[in-house]
Order: sequence, then C-alpha cells, then structure tokens
Amino acid sequence: MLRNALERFSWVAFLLWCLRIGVIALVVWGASATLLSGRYSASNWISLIVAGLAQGSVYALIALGYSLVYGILLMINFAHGEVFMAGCFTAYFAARALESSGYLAKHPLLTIGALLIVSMAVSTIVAVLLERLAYRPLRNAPRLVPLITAIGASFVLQYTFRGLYGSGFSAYPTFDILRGRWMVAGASIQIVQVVVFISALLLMAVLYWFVERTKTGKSMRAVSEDKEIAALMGIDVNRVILVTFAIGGLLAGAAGVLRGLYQPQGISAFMGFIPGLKAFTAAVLGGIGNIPGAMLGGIFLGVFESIGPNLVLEGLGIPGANQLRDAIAIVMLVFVLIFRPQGILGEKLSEEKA
Amino acid sequence: MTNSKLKLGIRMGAYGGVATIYLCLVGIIETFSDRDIITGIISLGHTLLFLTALVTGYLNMQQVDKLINPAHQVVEKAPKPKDTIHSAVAGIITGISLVILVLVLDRFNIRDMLVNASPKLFELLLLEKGVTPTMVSLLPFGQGLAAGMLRLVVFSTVLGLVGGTLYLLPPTRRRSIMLGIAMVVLLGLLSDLMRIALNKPGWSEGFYKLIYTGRGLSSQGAVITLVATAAITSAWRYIPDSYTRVISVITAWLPTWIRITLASLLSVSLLLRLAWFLGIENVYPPILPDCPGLITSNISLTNCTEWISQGLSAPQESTEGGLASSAPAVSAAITLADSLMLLGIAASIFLLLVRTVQMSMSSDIQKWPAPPLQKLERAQRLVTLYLGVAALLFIPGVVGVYPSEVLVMVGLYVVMGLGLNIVVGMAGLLDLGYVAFFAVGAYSMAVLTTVDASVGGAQLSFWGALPLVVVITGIAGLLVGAPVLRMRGDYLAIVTLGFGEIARFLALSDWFKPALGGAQGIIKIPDIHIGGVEFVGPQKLYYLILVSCLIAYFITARLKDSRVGRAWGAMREDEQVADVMGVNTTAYKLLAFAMGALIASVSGAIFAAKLGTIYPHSFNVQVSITALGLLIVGGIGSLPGVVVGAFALVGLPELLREFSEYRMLFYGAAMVIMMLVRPQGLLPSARRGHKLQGNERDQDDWMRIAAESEAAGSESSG
Amino acid sequence: MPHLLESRRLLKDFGGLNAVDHLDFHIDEGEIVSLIGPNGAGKTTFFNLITGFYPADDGKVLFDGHNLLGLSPYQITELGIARTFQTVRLFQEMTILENVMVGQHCRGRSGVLGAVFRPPRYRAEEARIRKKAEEQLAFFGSRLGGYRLDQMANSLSYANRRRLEIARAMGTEAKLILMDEPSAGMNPKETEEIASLIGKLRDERGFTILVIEHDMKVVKGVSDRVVAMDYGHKIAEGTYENVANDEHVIEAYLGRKATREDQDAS
Repeated sequence: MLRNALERFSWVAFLLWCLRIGVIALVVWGASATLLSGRYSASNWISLIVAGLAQGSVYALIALGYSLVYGILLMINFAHGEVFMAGCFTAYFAARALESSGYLAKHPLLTIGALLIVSMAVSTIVAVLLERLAYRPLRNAPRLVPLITAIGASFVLQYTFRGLYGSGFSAYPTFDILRGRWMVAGASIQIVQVVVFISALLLMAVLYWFVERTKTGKSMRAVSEDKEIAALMGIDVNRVILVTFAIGGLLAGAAGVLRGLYQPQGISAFMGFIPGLKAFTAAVLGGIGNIPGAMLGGIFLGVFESIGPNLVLEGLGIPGANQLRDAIAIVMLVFVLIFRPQGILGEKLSEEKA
Repeated sequence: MTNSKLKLGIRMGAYGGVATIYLCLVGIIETFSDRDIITGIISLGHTLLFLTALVTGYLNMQQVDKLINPAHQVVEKAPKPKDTIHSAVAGIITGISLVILVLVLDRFNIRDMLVNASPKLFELLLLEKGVTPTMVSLLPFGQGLAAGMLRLVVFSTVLGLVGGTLYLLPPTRRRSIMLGIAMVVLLGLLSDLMRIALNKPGWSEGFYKLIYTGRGLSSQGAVITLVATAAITSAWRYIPDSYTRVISVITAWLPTWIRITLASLLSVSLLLRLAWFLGIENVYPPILPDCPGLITSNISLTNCTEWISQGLSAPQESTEGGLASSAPAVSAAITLADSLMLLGIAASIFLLLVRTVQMSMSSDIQKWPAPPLQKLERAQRLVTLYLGVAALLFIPGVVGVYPSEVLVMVGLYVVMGLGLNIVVGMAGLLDLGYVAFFAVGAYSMAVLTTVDASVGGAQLSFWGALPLVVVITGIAGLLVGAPVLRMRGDYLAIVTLGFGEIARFLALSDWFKPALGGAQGIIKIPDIHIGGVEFVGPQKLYYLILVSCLIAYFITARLKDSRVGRAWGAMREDEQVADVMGVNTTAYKLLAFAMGALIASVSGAIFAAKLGTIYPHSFNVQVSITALGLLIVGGIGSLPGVVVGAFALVGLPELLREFSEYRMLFYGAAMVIMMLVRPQGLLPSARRGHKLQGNERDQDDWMRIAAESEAAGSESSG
Repeated sequence: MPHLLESRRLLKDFGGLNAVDHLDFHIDEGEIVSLIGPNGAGKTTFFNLITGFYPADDGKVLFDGHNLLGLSPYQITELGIARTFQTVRLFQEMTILENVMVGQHCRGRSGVLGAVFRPPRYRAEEARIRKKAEEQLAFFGSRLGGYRLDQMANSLSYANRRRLEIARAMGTEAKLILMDEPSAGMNPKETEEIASLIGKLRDERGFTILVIEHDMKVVKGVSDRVVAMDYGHKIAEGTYENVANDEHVIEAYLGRKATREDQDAS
C-alpha cells in the first residue's frame, strides 16, 4: 500500500501546491503589513486604482488584439506590441504638426479624433501587412514556426521604426482640457485618466457589438470554432483572418493614442515591447481567445500593477518596490499559466486548443 | 500570357521599388555609403541600392519561369531570352519608384518625421556623393536633378535586365558569377580587417597592396577577385580529388620514418610557438623561422646556425622565473625545429620529384601509387585533423588582436548556442529567456571571484568558482524549468522570455543591490590563470573559449546520439506519445533545462572574467534572440549549424561596426526569412531530405488511388 | 488465476457524459481480445484510461497486481503495457530505428554522464537497445529493415507507419499491447496481413493483445474473445459468433430505430 502511494506521489504536484500556498501567504502577509502600518490613506488607494483603471483599459485594448488572433489562428501574434507602437509613434508626428499649427489649441477634440484616425490607420496597415507577409504563408506550419516568425517580425518592426523615426524619445503634446483633476471622496483623480478609461470602454463595447451582432463578427466566431467547416459553409477564411488582424490593429492604434494622452512621455520605437508582454498577460489572465476575458484581464492587471508594489511588495519590506512594477505582470503571467491556464473566464480548452 | 508577364514585371518592380525606398528611409543606404566596396567607385550603400534592382530583375525572371511552368506540368519550358524585357520593366518600375522618392525629397521637407530623408540621401541617390570627382565627371547625362533621375531609371533598367539574364545562364556559370559578385562585396567589406591582418612587412603586404587601396578594394583588385572566384568555382570539383591524390602519393612514396619525423618536427615547432605566445611574450613568433635573410629567400645555413648559437648562448636576462627565463632557448629551439623541418620538406619534395620522374620514364602505369583504401582514408583523416587543429591553434596569431576579439565573441555564442540547442533543438522547448542562464553564470562568477569588497567576499579564483557557478546555474535551470513544465510550447516561449526580463529587473533593483551591485554592476573580477599563464586579451582568451567550445560540442554531440538524446527527440516530436512510450517527460524537460543552463553558465563565467566588470544591461533580451537566431540560421538541432550560425550572426556584424545599429533588424529579418524560405536552416540537422523520402509516399498515394478506384468499381458492379 | 489486466467499475465522466460507464473488463495472459462497438462507444477512452492518458473518475484498473490508476503513462509502460494509436503518431523526424529504440527507453537506465563518458556499461546497454530494436523490426521482414533503418519515419508509406508503430510498442517489451484500429485506412490485402500479424505476435512473441477493430473479418479471424461496448457500457461478451448475433450488438450498430418503432406501436 505504501509502495503504491509512493509511486503515485508526484514531486511536481507537491511543489506546485507548496508554491501556491507560498504565493498566497506572501501576498496576504505583504498586504496586511502595509494596511496595518497605515502608510497610505484611502484617497491614496483611490488615486492609484483610477490610474490603474486607465492603464488597464489600454492593456485591455491591446490584449483584445492578442485574444482575437489567438481565438482564430491559435497563434500568439508576438509582434502585436509593435503594432501598437507603430500607431502611437506615427500619431505623435501628427500631434506635433497640429500643435505647431495651433490647431490643437483651437480644436482639441477634433485633434484627438484626427490622431485616433492616423494611429488606427497605421496600426491597421502594419497588422494587415504582418498577416499577409509573415503569417499567411505559414498557416499550416508547426506551431512554433509562426511564433518564431512573429518574434523576428517584432524586431524588424522595432528597428524599422527606429530607422524611420529616429532613436530618441519623444513626448505627446498636452491637452489643456484634459489637464485638471476632480476631487472624489477626498481623492484627487486626473480627468485624463477617467476620459481614457471611458473611451476604452466605449471602444470595447463597439467591438463586442461588432463580434456578436454583425455578419462579419459571426463569421469570425465561426472561423474560430472550426476553420474547415467555416470554409465549407462559404466563409472566406482568409478574409476573416485579415479582418481579425485589422480589428486588432484598430484597437491597438486607439490604445496608442490613449496612452499618449495620459502618459505623454517615452514615445520611442521600443515602447511596444513591455506593453505587448503585459497585454499578452492580460489576455491570458482573462482566458485567451475570450473577448470579455481580455477586457477584464487588462483592467485587472492594470489595477493590480498600480497598487501591487505599494500594497504587497512594500509590506514585505522590499526596497524600491516600484522598480519591480514591470516584473509583477510577468510573475502574474507565470502563476496564471501554472495554476489556471484557462484564465479567469476561460472554459477548459479542448485538447486541440490547449 | 504576355499581358500577365507584363503585369508580373510591373508588380515585381513595385516590390523592388518599395524595398529600395525602405532601405533609403530606414537609413541603411546612407549609413553604409561611408563604407567603400571599391574605393572611389562604389560604396556599400550604392551596392545595396543597385543590388535591389538586380535582385528584382532576377526574381522577376524566376516568377516568369514559375508562370510558364505550373507545378503540375510535366515537360519544363525554359524562359526565353526575350523574357528579359519583363525584367527590364521591373527594373524601370524600381527606378521610377526611386525617382518619386527623389522628387519628394526635392519638394517637401519630410525630415521632421523621417529622420533619414536627408540631403545626403538625396545626393547619394543622384550619384553625386560617395564617388570620386573623376567618376562623377564620367557619369552619363551630366549633373543636375533631371540628369540624376534619368540616370537612376537607366541604371535600374540595365540592372534589371542583367538580373534577368543572370537567371537564364546555365547554373554553373550563374553560380560562379554570383559568387564572384558576393566575393567582391565580402572582400570589400573586410578591407579594414584585411589591413590589420595583411598590411605588415612580408609577403602579405604585397598581396594587400595588390587588391586593396584606401578603405576598399582597388579596381584591379575587384577584377582580380571576380576572375579568381570564377576560376576557383569552376575548378572547385577537382580540388578534393587532388587533395586525396597528394596524400596518396605521400603515403605511398615517403618512408614512414620521414613522415613521422616531419610531423613531429612540425608539432614541436607549433607547440613551442604556442608556449612562447602564452608564456613568454604577447607576440607570436613569425610564421617562418626568423633567420635573417630567410624571408628574402636567401637561405643560408651558416646564417641560421650562427643565429641559433647566439640564441642558445644568450645571457639569461630575465629573472622572472618560469617560462620567461627560458625565452632565448625556446626561440632557438623554434628556429632549430623550423630549419630542420624545412630541410626535411625540401628533401622529401626532392625525393618525390625523383620518384615521379622515374615513374614517367618507366611509363609503367601499374607502379603508380595506389595505397589500400582504408589506409588512405585513415591518412587523409589524420592529415585533415592535423591541419584543422593547427589552423585552430594559430588563427589568433595570424589574424591579430581585433579579429581574435571577434572570434572570442563568436566562441561565447557558440557555447551558448550549443546549450540552447539542447533545450530548443533536441528537447523542443522554445526558450526565449536563455540570457537568464548566461546572466546567472556571469553574476555568480562575478560575486564569487570579485576582489571588490562591497559585494561578494568569497574572492575565489576562476577555477575555484567555476564548479560552483555551474552548479548554481544548473539549479537555476531547474527552478526555471519546474514552473513551466506543464506549459505548452508557445506559452513556454513567452514565459521564459518573461523570466529573462525578470532576471534583469532583479539585477537592476535596489532590492538586490547589496548582492549584485544594482545598475553599476560588479567590478574588479580577476583574470583567469592557469599556472603561470594569464589569460588576458582576446588572443589568449581565444584558447580558453576554444576549449570550452570543443567540450560543449563534444557533450552535445554525445548527448544527441544517446538514450537521453532519443528521449528528448521523442518529447520534441510528440510529448504525449513519448510519455506513453515510457519516457518520463517531466524529468527529461527538467534535465534539458538544467543541461542548457549549465552550458550557458560556462559562457557567462568566461564573459564575466573577460570583461572584468558586468552590468545588468549586458544581459538583455537581444542576447537570447541572437542565440535563438543563430540556431535558426544554422538549422535548429544541427550542431555544425550552431557554429555556422554564430559566425554569420555574431562574427559578421562584429566585423562590420556600422552594422551595429541595424543588427537586430537583420536578425529579425533573418529569422522571418529563414522561417518562410528555408525553415531547416543553412546546415540542416542530418538525414533530412532523403531522396527516397517522397518516393514511398508517392507510391503509397498511387496505390491508395488504385485501391479506391478498384473498391468503387466493385461497389458499383455489386 | 488472476487476470493479467482487469478493470472494475471503471468510470470516466466527460462533463455529464459517461464515456466509460462503470466498465468491468478483464483479459488473461496469452489472450487476444477484440473490443468492438460503434463510434463514440468509449473504446479509445478506455484505452486512454488504462494507459494513463486520462485520469479515471472512479473504479480500479489492476495489471499484474498493480493498481494503475494515478500512475503516469511512462510508469504504466514500464509495468508492461504498450499501445498504438488510431491516428498513427510516430516520432516523425527520427529514424525508424530510433523510433523503436525509444520504445526500449524504459528498459535502460543510463543518463547524461553515461552518454558523455560512455563507460563499458553504457556501451553494452546501447548495444542491447539497438539489438532489441532491430529484432522487433526484423519481425516485419524487409519492410522496415535494411537500408530503411536510418530513414526518417515520415518517409514511410501509411501501412509501414502502422507497422512501425506496432514495432515501437513491441520495443517496450510489454506484456500487453493495446492496438487502436490497426487496420484503419488499409487496403484489403494489408488488412489481411495485419490480421495474421496479430496472431503471430501472440504465437511467436507471446504478447497478450487487446485490439479495437471495426473490420469484422479481422475481429473474426484473430479474437479468442470479443467484447462489445456502447455508450461506455459493456453490452456483450463472448466468442465472435455469440457477440455478432447478440441483439444488443446488432441494435448498437444498426441504431435504435427498431426499438423506437416498437415503443411507438405499444
């Protein structure tokens, strides 16, 4: 009997359980230590959460691109962060031109609209080109081949845009109408963060409507269920895939402008890598391939990243906790993939998809 | 048909135009125009500019070929010479695209956005910069905007035409021309290196002056290179044969004792030189014996003996002890061995000549040497091995400091690539955070050995620390491996990428600053010693790296062909089935990570000792991507591919400093293009693509069809 | 005498659907048993439960005195069960010989150090693995032998791939081989050959064989005993004649139409 039990004992499972308990204990311990010390007031937390919501909604927009493509092709479009960068960086030049011509000061809202159009157009073009040139020829290749291609494409895009637009860091112009702060329940909240959050929600609502209600959206869902059957039903699979990439590009472009609004600094050719990684985390967090999941995952990640360093890491007595903000997302990705690979909203993936 | 060919030409031309404009606006043309290929005549920038038109013409012809020979067609039709007109069309369109770019540059200021749309690019496009004034005056159509634009179109057209014609040439001739052009470009690129390596007193100086001038090839050098390459490629297939023949003559005619004596003299001389270099002075003794007058082929025995006796009787100046004190004796011994060897070689050649003459006089064909095949093969293997080892040992001395530095970098990446090859190529786990293991290796070596009091404190020697470093990194491999065990391929890739980043964040953070030094890194890492020999400088480190490469290669090669390697292979091909066939996949995944990690750690440890100082910024994602890229370029899973890939992806860019800005662009492009065009890599892992591969399957399909039709027939009849 | 393999009230629940529903099954040493049933009857799921692909929800599987449930697939293989797959799953980019040598993996023990330093013990083991693998391949005559040993598995014809898969299973030195539709996709001649091969495997090599098969000619030709399944249940068991004439089996294959009509009538 004992021998049987020993044969069935799995070190991996045991270690994973220890890890799970350890992580939860650390988080609880860190959070309670911080909260008990009373270092931060409730209004501090509210500001942090609102900032996290804005950041998270941008992640969510990018994450949707990962999720949509994954849902249909079961591939990680690793270069999606660069799609976001392309739009954001290009729109920066439009913003600067409009600023220097004085148009921005006169019609700020129209300017934002124009920037959105520029950014979304560029990102869409980049996304569609990627699909056509790099991914379509590899549609039936082994799974890792398109991933390697995507990594290569990601570097090509980064260094192409560095070559085109230069290697310096730039900053978006500021919009006076977005500058102020609101006082809510004693906490001061930046207007721009609220605006960004609401715009992102609107875009996501439009996307949801598109996927659920329109004919193209329905064919997208059909293709994601089964490509062959969808093709037999008369759906042009290649076109649907192209549309999917285009939608991912549109959302990433919009995310680029929103990012420029609430965080104007640090515009460069390399700005897409980390947000891309985080958006992927968000997509996995929510359940990759799942649209509401990506939205939820992005927002959750944004908020956790915003409060995490102060809440958990400081409580654990780690110095310079804010330096580790970027690491939080990655650690979270690892834990989600270990303990709940299907994500928050994902159902268990079938053998073939998993 | 003609219409569709025309459309094709226009389309290809448009692609070519987009590609050229891309090269211009990304800045490649401008950056590379500072580098001469043929001094005063053509720069690398212009070469690239025109190469696109040439390639467009060539590819267009390839497409025409495909158009008139659809896949299912049995009889192949060759494209006709008149089809080159479509390549010319492609060239025209490419040229027109450039003209549009020139016009835009002339009329609008787009530089605010596109930083490389500079006046210099404008001048380069009009061919008014990057060439000598005499060349400018020789250019057709004279000066000015309109003339320049006309020139662009005409040049592109001609080059498109040439590209198309090239495709039509018979393959052997086409290959020698293309190799000739490639060789000119390569030699032109390597001009700086060649100057260091060749432009010193002796025979090499003459060679250098013959084909180089300024910072590129001279025009006569270019012609010589073209002709020589073409000649060599045509003669290429005879060369291995003549090599065998020479060896067979030597094995048959030279008495064994002479051969052994010569080989041992050569070995003694080579080893003494090595000892001299490593232990006595930082300079290599010259390749030929340093007797006065020998270089001018004025060999005189008396001179030499005089010099030798001087050396042997020289007063022992140095009192540093060890090898240094025996310097004069060693140098004398080298000279002695060399002289004896030269004498021996001369005598053997004389002997062989006499035998040859005798043979031809007797005209008895039967007496020509034909040693037993086995013996011959063994002799050939021995000679090749000997020459290979000698070449590997003496490269740093021959090429000089800077190229040795490049070789050291290549070697570090070869070791890393071999380790990554275990993880990715053998076990099939795509690890994008491989830099983490390199970093752990480097950091643990730094912490254990540094003499800087603020971190560490163990102050071990390199060799004392190395086993610890390997163990620490192996454990790190297990730690990274454990959480990702149950992840599928693409998730695993992203998570390992994340791990690589986390490692860097942690090294940078205040949290670990007391241990790892934060952004300032760790300084004062001591050099590596073996006995009295101090491995400083690239020429000496080279040997250390060489040994690590050989060990890593040996280990991976043996693992590949073993029970462990087969288990990894099964896991790579189908994890579930491997499990059902009795492979404990959990354990073998961990083992792969640990093995990969500990090989990388050696690379990292040498890296730390080489630099003496390490910063977190040296360990970014680009290292991982470079290591992965060299695997992909060489062929995933192929061991020689790792070496080839490292030379292509690390060696070449190191030699061409201007490239550094575009390095990652090239890596990325190489990865994409390899995956699209040649996923098996340059040197595919053996045995793929058997000729029989298709046959049995074809036959199978054929049988299936026959069986099906039979079944259908019987059904319908029944 | 205890059975070689025995399952007791084995249960697998796929979200409310019992793919294998409290199945009692046994096979004795030296037997050839065929498992038949319409598509979706739970035959392959049963295989997957035995080999540890899926965890079972309830019940027991005893093999040679060991309880298999909870063991990893590789441990089960070590105990002496090997299988083939309905859709051939070879190690495509490994040679034919290597494929079978992987089968020998669980009978060896050398590791990294052995592979690198190659002491005599390692060499002996490697030679043994190679010899055993060649022996298995020799069973198939010239089809998989000779120059083909060093060819990639993906260069083989379909029928030879099936054969190689069987050779690989034989290579594990199993007592019991589970074959999942070995004749699927083969032409009549090849099917006949497979049938005689199954007999030879038992008679000459002493394997016990459990085979899922749709081709009734094969089933009739090879089986000592036939077990029919439907909806995860065992619906009939016995000699081929008994099972083939069993009304439940006929019903399972021809559908419930007849029964429904009966109900309508009543």
